[in-house]
Parts: sequence; structure tokens; C-alpha cells
Amino acid sequence: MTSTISEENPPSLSKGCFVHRKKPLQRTKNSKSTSEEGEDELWSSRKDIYQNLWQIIEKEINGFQEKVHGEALDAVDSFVVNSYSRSSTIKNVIKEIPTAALIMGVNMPDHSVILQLLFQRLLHSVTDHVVSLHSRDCKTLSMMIQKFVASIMKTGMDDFEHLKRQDFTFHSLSAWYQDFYQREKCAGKSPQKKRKISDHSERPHASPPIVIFLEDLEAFNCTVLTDFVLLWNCVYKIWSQQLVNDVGFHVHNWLQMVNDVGFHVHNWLQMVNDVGFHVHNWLHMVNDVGFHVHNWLHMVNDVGFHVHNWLHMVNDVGFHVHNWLQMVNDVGFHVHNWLHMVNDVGFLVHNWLHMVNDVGFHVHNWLHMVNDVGFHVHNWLQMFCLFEHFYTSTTTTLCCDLSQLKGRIENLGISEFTAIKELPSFRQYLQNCQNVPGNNKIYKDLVFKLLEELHTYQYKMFGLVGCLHVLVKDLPSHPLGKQMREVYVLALEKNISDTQEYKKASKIFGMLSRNELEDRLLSCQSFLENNEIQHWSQFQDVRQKLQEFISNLHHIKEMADTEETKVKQKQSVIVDFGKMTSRSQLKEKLKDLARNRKSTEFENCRQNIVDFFNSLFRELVPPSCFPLHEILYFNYAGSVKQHIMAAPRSAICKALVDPASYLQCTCCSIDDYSQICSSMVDTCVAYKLHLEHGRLINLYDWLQSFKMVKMEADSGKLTQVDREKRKNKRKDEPNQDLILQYPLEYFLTCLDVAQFVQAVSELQFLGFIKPTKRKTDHVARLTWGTS
Amino acid sequence: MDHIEVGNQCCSPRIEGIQKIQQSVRARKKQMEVLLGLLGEEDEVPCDCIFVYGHEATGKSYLLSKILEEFEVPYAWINCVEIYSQRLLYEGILSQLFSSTYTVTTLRCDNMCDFIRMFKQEAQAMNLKKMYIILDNAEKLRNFEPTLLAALMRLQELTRLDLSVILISEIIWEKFRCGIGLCEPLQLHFPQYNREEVLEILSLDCPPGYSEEFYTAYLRVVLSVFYLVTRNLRELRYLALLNFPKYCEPIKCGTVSESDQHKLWKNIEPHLKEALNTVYLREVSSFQWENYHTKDAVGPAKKVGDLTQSFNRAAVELPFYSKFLLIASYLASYNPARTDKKFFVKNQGKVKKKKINLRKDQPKRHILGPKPFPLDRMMAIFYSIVEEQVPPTSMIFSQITTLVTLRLLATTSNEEELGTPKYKCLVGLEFIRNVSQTVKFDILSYLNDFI
Repeated sequence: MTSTISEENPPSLSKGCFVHRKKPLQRTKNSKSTSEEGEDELWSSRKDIYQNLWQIIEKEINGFQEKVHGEALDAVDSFVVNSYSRSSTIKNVIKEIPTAALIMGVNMPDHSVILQLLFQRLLHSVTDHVVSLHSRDCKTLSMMIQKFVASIMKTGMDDFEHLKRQDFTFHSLSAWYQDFYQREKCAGKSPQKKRKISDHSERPHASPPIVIFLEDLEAFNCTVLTDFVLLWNCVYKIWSQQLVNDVGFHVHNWLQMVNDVGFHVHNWLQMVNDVGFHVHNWLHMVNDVGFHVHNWLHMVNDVGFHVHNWLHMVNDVGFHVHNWLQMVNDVGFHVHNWLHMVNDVGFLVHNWLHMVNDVGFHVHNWLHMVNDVGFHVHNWLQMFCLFEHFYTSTTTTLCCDLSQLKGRIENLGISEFTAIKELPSFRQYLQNCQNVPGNNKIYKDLVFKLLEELHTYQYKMFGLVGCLHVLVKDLPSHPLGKQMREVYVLALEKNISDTQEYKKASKIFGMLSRNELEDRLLSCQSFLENNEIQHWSQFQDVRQKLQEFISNLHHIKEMADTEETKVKQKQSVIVDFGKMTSRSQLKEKLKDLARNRKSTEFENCRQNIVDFFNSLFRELVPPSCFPLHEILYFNYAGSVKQHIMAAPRSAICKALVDPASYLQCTCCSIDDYSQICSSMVDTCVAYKLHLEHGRLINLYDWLQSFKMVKMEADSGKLTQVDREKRKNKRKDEPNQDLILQYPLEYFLTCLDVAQFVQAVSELQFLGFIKPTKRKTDHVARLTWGTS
Repeated sequence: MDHIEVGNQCCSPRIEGIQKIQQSVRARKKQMEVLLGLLGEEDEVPCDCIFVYGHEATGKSYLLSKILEEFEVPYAWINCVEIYSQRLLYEGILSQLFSSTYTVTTLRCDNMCDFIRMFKQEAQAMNLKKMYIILDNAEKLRNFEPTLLAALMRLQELTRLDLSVILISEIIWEKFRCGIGLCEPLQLHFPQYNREEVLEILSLDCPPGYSEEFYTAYLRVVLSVFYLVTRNLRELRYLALLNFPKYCEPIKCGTVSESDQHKLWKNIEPHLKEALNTVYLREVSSFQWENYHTKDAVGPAKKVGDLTQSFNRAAVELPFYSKFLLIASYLASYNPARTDKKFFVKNQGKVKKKKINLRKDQPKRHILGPKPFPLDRMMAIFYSIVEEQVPPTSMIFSQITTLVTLRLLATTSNEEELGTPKYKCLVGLEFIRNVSQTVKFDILSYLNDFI
């Protein structure tokens, strides 16, 4: 055997793993022939379009978010202001610490974002003293107080750095507070304080309250929180007594249940009770202190900020076709099968299904991602889709406004043009086409024509979807859903008039009473008139028709009113039953009568209406029927899935089985996954060997094969069979002699053992094996079925 | 008593002071006299340690503070809730008694030895004769090492100064005993106020614009409803003030005169009964209560019950699968494992009709409380009750963790045992029924106790 030590391969205890940046994969899906520079150029032009588009969408989304959050933040704002400016006889006697609980949905991804907004807002408009406490910083009372006092006193303290941790107590805080505002009041003209003064002059009170946020309330230690509140109470009483004449100081305790809560403090107490805490004490305390959970829910009614609302917002922002309508008008971009894709991806299946119910949103794997990226779910997804859309296909240059379309088509490069020709929908179209265009000029005209058609159809589709939604949204049992997006998704997927849901809805629609029918028609009419749709000429006929129906219904109503008296006078129809001998005869007779019954005028009219709508919505075909839809619609669920559903497990497995794929080194490249190279990282070697074992792995055997692999540096790649052979051969060799004869060999053996032990512990850490007590010197395997 | 009478004769400002105190502190005459005796007059050595105890809201702190303020003696008042480290105690006392030398920021004192040294030094420097140290909520001091309390109680002995330590607590002295060096203090008990005394004290709150008689009549009404439930003065006072505007409403409207007690009673009674349900809980803050009343005057009444019920509704707001997880955990907690086959296996095959030897004395699981169960069992139940196909992703498992943080579940296994975690369901039957209703799951038919 030869020494394995060499200059290039110094043995180390653990082989390092170095990250190589992977060469960017060329996404030459549709343009293999173009050179890289050309590709870059094309991309940069598309990038501009993408960026413009994204800016528009982002602005839109931010607008919505501001709107939705704004309401909640306003409410909180007014609560804070009101609760310390409220004058009440009771308040003078009973000192309650104003407290509000902000209940947010369980596992909502945007807690921190909303809180941050709230924080900034209070800071800006109400008080300088806003503190946010996390349960992780507040393990004990002293930690909590230190953290709290320190963060309050940080504002406007000159010698803040000199203070030690122990100095942060409530006493120092109250001394500081009095000092701070007294000083400001008396000699507030010092230059440093000027900004503050001007700020305060706009504010209603000379001494702003202190607002405390307790984030993730449910994670706080019960006793710590109790003590803290009691302490506040003491301070609260003293301060308000001391300062009531002078400045009117009020402490504000703002309890926040951010959590993943959905919980009320009350219930929290109950839970606590169940856990076996001393709830009596707590209630007692609550009582004593005047610690009140201001019923946030109550507020919620007014404010309308709630889980539901969040969902609502999601609807609004992401999916409300309405907004898409507007956006789309400008930009002409579509995320095709958006929700369907989402369903495919499977990450939010239940969200979507149950969002309609009053369920919280759980987006666990989102949480991390979203926090990192700093976007909301939908934001992120949208952005991703948008990016992907523009990045992957070269044809998207044409994804623009109609007005710019002509020029862009003219400027198309050859490669882009071929890409367009290769679009499956276009090719299919050409096949069906009678006369295939000969030269590029005609091609370009054709493309322009088709795209124009598609654009026109879009407008029509949005109008139709809107109409349909307005008509069916409040039908009993909601066959087509309550939200517009549900209709929209269906329309994107398939021919809506063929679906079961539509048929059901149409059936119910045909059974509506006159009033209901009229209401729906009117709302449909107003929908068509209130929107931008009214500029669209395609709906001129529809509007006329609607008007006609409505006046018809009116007419029928008037008729009915006048005829009512006549009908009363009319005698009821006497049916001659003749001689009935059996029940079946009677049945037949009744059926006959029903069949022959003359339908009223209203029923005729209703039938007309239903027929009209049926024919109208038959035109609602999915955009994928149109040639060149790929340019405007994005439909790669797979790529979204690939990027969104992180699969760490499989990544780890792949890295362990085929490290070359990540390290990109030539030494480890293998043809077959069962091959093992000695140059691989120790953990890889150990992992590959462990795959060959059963449920229990004998550590000694494992070590032997590990050593074998390591020793055979020269022989390179070994399969299992090779190793078995060599192992048998080596069994004859005496070990002792080895140590004596080859001290270097012995050293290497020790090194191998150390490497092995580390590799094994890493595998244990990764969760592939675990120690077992069943058999000595064995470990249990935890995974199966990987190769 | 003799002692005080002697005092009465010799100094008239003292008598004046006593009278003043008596005016502001009602129904505590006896306690005041004893306290005055124990605190001693100017030239007397005060009692070294006094232990004042009694239920909450019986005027302990109030009386004491009035006495100390009235006679303007140097004292330090420490609320032991604030004392989370001994240092705060020492520095608090020192800075209050010797505020001229010490300010909060310059003071450093964190052990008893230093404290006594500094205390003596300062007392001599300032030539203070008599001092009082009041420790409110003294039961909190038991959280520290027992020697602290012992040393505090012997402070007179240790400093050789004329000072008195007064402990105020809601619990009895026996609970303080821990065996090390405690000397027995003089104990003074503050009994609860009786009904007449409560009435007398509450009538002091009479809002301006109303005669005291009228307010007393109102208080009688309030007491007749609440006195059986609570005798806590603070709570009664809160309730009385809260409901008073409602009581006066018909007078303001002009429908009822002030003297028409009966009609006023008829008007207020239902509201008081409603408030009776939430005594002590204060689920609704005074602010909301007022709002509720003002709204009440305008539109149709919104029950307080609605307010509180909305909490419960909020409690059920969980993600969809979390609800099922919770239900599964409840079933696992309250059903014996052997019955799982009966409930959750779709095709059970032939069920042998065994003789069920139900021992009658075997208590129901719901009486015994939740039992711990392994995670696997819960997940098995979960998959059988959820109708759809749910992939066992990390999403589902992290929801279990969320449920634990929400204290709907509790872990019962060690944290080291990652392989087989065990949980316990903490929610009650009523709660879980609400939850299962929202997902249209009939939980009762799956519970062994109810079949």
C-alpha cells in the first residue's frame, strides 16, 4: 500500500465544503440559436417592460394595503388618544390602565409588518414613547423592566451610555420622565430639544403617554406578566397623583396579542387555568389592578380589521378581478390560471378552499420566505410570476399596450420572430389555417391581428366575468362562489357555460322571482355603467338588451297590479277529473295539466332572459383557446412550484449522493449513484455506505467499509461488489503487524476513525440515523427508499 | 387605650390630627387607636415591628398613610411588588428617608450590611430620631432569602435607632414563618367592613349634583344585589359608580322624579343583574360599559352577554387544519386507545359481540381529565377525520407547535425525546364542541364517554 499523503490531497479531520457559485443556467427555451449577447440585449429590453409593469402593480398593491391597514391603524390611534384624554367621573376614581388587545389571525405572515406600521404611526402622531416587548426578551421580571425602561429612556437622554443595566428601574424612569418634561416645559429653547418641541406643539398633550406593545402575549410567562402589570399599577397611581395637576400624565399599557393568537386574554386565562396555574391569583390581580382588556373585538366591529379583512384584502389586492381589470387595461399582462396554479402547487390548497370560511391563513413555509423577501405572499408570488413570465420567454416583448404593439412587432428580431412562430398555439393555428402566410410581412400583420383580437377579447371577458359575478354572487348555495375571483378562475380554466356549476346556477336563476330578477338585472346594469366597461363598445348591445328586459319586467309588474283585481274575480279553473279509478290515472292527469298549463307572461320573459344570458356567456371561452395567448398569459405552474416549494430534504439527499452536482468538481463525478469516490466529502461517503445497510447498522462494519473507501484513493470509483471482494481479501491481514510495520498507516487509520465518527454524527444531526439501545454498537436507520 | 388618653390630655395638635384622620378614614376607629399607640408619641420608642393584616380593601394602607401624613413623621413607604431585587428595597428606603443626600442615580447599596451602615450613618448625620419603614404587600418578601425578612424585622435592634418596621399584608402571619430568626411582630387585624360601614364609605363618593340621600338610596339598591356576591369595597365601589349614570337616566329624561324609588329600582334592576354575572371579571372595561349604556339609550340594547360571547367566538378562530388537529387531540386525550378502532376504522370487519363488562364504578374519562397521548396516535386520528387528502408536510406539524403555544395543547414528554413526543389536550368540552361545529364535525358521536 502506498501513502495517500500528497501535496494536492492533504488529509484533514473534516473535509471542508466549499460553496461554488453555479454558472447561471442558460434559459434558452425558445431561442437556442441566438448568441448570448443577443440574448442579453433582448432580456434587457424585456426587463424594462417588466420593471415598468411591476411598478404599476406594486403601487396598486401598496395602495390597497394602506387602505386596509389604514382603518385598523386609525382605530388604534384614536383608542390611544381617547383613552388618555377621556374625561369621566369614573376614571377619576377608578384608575384603569387602558389596555387593548389586538387579535390577529393565527399564523398570519404579516404580523410584524402591521405592527411596524402601527409602531411608526404611533411614534409619529401620538407619542415618542412607544416600546415593543417580545417574550424572548422578557424571561424574568427584571429583564423585562430593564428592557422596557432602557428603550423608553433612550429617547432624548444625553448621558444614556453611562447608565448601567441595573439603573433601569421604574424609579429612575419616573424621575427621568418628570425631569424630561419639566425641563422641556421650563427651558425648552435649547437647540437639541427644538425639534421635539415643535413636534409636541402639534400634539394634544404636553406629556404624551407611554405605550407598550406586548407582542406574542401568549408566550409571556404568566407570573412575570402579572408582576409587571401590578408594578405598572403602582407606578400608574403614583404618577397620576403626582402629576395630575401639572401635566396630566397618563400611562398607557397597550397589550398586544399579536401572536399567532386569535385569542382573547379571557380565554388565555382559561387556558392558564387548565394548565394549572394559579388563575385565581391572576384574576384577583386583574381586578385589583384595573387591568382591562379593552374589548378589541368591539372595536373590530367598527374598524373592520380582522382576519377576514385580511383575507378580504388578499382578495382585493391579489385577485379581485376588478383591479386586475384596471391593471390589465394598462399593461396587458395576465397571470393565467393563477389560483389553479396555486392549487397545483399545493401550498395553499386549504387556504383557498377555506378562506371562504372564516379561517385563518396558514402559510407556514411562507413565513420564512416572505419575511426574508419582505413582501406579502401575494406580492411575492405576483412578482415572481411576472418575472418568470418575462424572463423565460423571448416572445413577451409583445406583452404591452395595444398602442405600442405595432411598433414592437415591426422591430422584432429574427430570433424573437422564430420564437413566436414556434409557440404551440400559433403553430396549431397555422395548421388549421387555409393559406399559410408566405413572407415575414404577412406574418407580422397576422401576429398583430391576432394579438389585437386577444386584447379585445380580454376586455370582453372581464366585462362578462363581472356581469356573471354580479348575477350569481348571491344565489342560494352559491354555485359559482361568492367572490369574483372564483368566477374568474373558472373562466380561465375552461368554457364556463359547459361547467356543472354554471348549469346549476343557470337553473336556479331560471327560478327566481320577479323582484329578485329585477334586482340582479339592475345591479348588472349598474356594473356595466359604473365601470370603465362603459367605454367598451362590445357591451353596447348587452346594455340595450338589459334595459329592454328591465322595462319588460316593469311592464309586467304594472300589468300584474292592475290585473290583480281581475284575477280575483276570475273563477278558479274547474278541472274535470271525470271518473278516476286509480291513483296513477290521477297522477297522469295532473302531470298533463301541469304540462299544458299556459306559462305566464313573466315566465316567458324570464325564460328569455335566461336564454339571453346563456348565449351571452357562451362567448366566455378561456383565453387559452386563442392563438398567441402565451405572450400575454403566464401558465407555468411547474416553475412556480419549483421555486416556491423548497425541498430541503431532497436537496440534502442529492448533495450527499452526488456531491459533484453542487461542488462542480471533476474528481467526484460519478456515472451511477451507487458509486463512491474516495475524494468525496466524508459525510457523503458515510451516507452512501449507510444506504447499503438494513434497519440497524453495525458501526464496526460501517467503519471498515468507510476505511476501505478512504484507503483506495488510487482505485477511484468503487461499487458495492468491488468493495465486498476487497474486504474479504483484507480480512486475512493481521492488524497488529500493520501498526508496527507502518506507523504512518496506523496514523491514517486513526484519522479515518476520527473522520468517520464526525461523518456519523453529522448524519445523525441531519436525521438519517439515530442511536439505538436495541443492540450494542449499532445505530438505527431512519430513512428509506433513497438511492 | 390609657396611653392614648394620656396623650390626648397633653398635646392638643395630636387630638386635632386624630379627629382629622377620623373624618377621612371611616369605620376604622379601633384600629387607628391601636396603631397610634404602637407607633408611639414623639418622645416614646415605637414598637419595633408591627404586622398589619386583613383582606384587601379594608383600609390598611389608607389608614396608615393618613396617620403618617398627618403627623408628618419621616417614613419610607415601599411597595414590595416593585422589589424584584433586594437592591431596590435598600435604595428605596434610603432615598426616601434621606432624600437630601441620596438621589436615585447616585445611590449604590445592595446588601443588608451596607444598608445598616449607611442607614446609621445618615440617621446620625441628619439627626433623625424616629423613623418608620412601611412594607406594603409584605408577602412578596418571602420570595427572597428568609434572612432578609428576619433582618428587616430586627432593624431596630440592628441599627439601635428608634425606628419601626410595619408590614402590611393580606395573608396571616403564620404563612410567613420559616424558622430562621424571625421575631414575633405585634399583629393588628383589619376585619372586613360590615354592610353599614360599606354604605357609609361608599356614600363619600356621592357625585356632585345629587343629594347624599339620593345616592345612599341608590347604594342600598346596589348593595342589595351585590353584597351577597362580593364584599370587596373596591369592587362595590366600581360597580356603584359604573351603574350610577344608568340609574339616573330616567331622572334626566324627566320621566321619573328623584323620590320615586320604586320606579328607579325597576329601571335599574335588569342592568344590575346583568352586571352580576361579570363581577370581578371585568371582561368589559368601564369605557365599553359606558359606551354600551350610551348606545343603549339610542338604539336597541346590545347585551353584555354579546360582548363577552364575542370573545368566545374569537377563540375559535384557528386555521382549518388546526381545528381538526385540535379535535383529533381532544379525541386522543379523552378516548381510550383501544376504542380508536371502533371509531376510526372504516371497515372494521365483523365485530364480535363480546360481553361488555362495564364496571359501573369506572369513572368517565371526562371526569378524570385529559390523558397524554403520543403524536402518532393523534396524527392517525387526524387523517381519519379529515376528509381530504392532507400531505404530512411541515405545515401541519408546525401547527401543532402553534397549538402548544396557544396553550390548547401541552407537551407532556421530555424535550429530549424528539422521537416520540406526547401531548395532552387542554381545552374543555364546550370549547371543542364550538370548534367542531365550525367545521361541521359531530364530536359527540366520536367520544366514548357519550356513547
